[in-house]
Amino acid sequence: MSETDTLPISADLLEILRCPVAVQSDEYGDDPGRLELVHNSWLVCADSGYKYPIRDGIPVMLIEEGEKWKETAVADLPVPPSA
Amino acid sequence: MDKTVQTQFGANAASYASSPVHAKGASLARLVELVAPQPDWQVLDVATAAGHTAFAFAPHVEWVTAVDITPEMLTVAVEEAAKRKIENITLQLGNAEALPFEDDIFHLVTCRIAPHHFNDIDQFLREAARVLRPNGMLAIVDNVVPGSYRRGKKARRQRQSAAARAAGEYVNAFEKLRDPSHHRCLAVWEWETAVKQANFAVISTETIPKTMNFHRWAARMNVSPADTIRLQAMLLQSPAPVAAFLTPQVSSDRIEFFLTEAILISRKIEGRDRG
Repeated sequence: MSETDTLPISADLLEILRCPVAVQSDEYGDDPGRLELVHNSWLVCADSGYKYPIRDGIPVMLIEEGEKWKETAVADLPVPPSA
Repeated sequence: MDKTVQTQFGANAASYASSPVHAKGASLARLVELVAPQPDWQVLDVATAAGHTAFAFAPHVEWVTAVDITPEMLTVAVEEAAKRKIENITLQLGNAEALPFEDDIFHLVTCRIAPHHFNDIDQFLREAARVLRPNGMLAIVDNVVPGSYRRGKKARRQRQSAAARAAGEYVNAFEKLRDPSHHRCLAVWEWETAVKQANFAVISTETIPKTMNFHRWAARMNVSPADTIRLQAMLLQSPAPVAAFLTPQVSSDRIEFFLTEAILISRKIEGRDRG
């Protein structure tokens, strides 16, 4: 339990969340848009390259927000995510 | 809904977070009744705003996920969920027209008094169909404009008539002058057509009239004095088909009229591919 307590979002939510861009595409196989939690505060989509911040515990799953960080390398993402 | 809970809304909550129309509207209780939610359901509430619909379903189901496009509204919803000690809910920012979820996961998608703000209702319906499981239920509540929802030839003639369409446009213009974020309310028959096109079968359609106090209705959206006079003129001088729908009533101290909410329940048709 201690491990899930430190997650900013529940493991169940992470399991169903998808990148809203990649999920619309047929290019990425059977289960497009899977997200990986990085820096404990970002959701990164390997398919589209879009990166979604988690601010105050709320995943910001808006396309324009994910697009803003597309060209930013994972290592350069601000922690905590800036506004 | 519990009245004491409503009074707990913080002073920072948006004015419609405590609006009786949104929080307590007859349609909310009726919606839960019609849907008959089950304990093992995963539910998605789209455009949840202050979370009223999500909170109403949470006690009846396993988990509610709620999305909204406005960060400020979501902050209100998060605080409200904590206050009500609702723990089986997740809130996140998301767009109704590009839902951030994998396919076929929810038993129920709800969306209440919000689609008239959407730019593309058909795209929202396609997204709802995508994230719903086969046979999953879609429950929509929204304000509607004039237009017959009776079936048959007579109804078809009626809805296709120029007068019926003009009345619908008039009511939409009336709403848009009061609230610039109002995009378009559909007529009931337009809703039924739209959900069928998105691969749903209509289970039931109901309408509920609600009385509006004109000046309170305008004030809630901070309408300027000049526009309030324009709205009043639009209401009181509306052409016959519009007046039959809005039924303005003037008494010595107030003006009242009716808006109509529709509750549309439909089911995702199994076994057909999307797209």
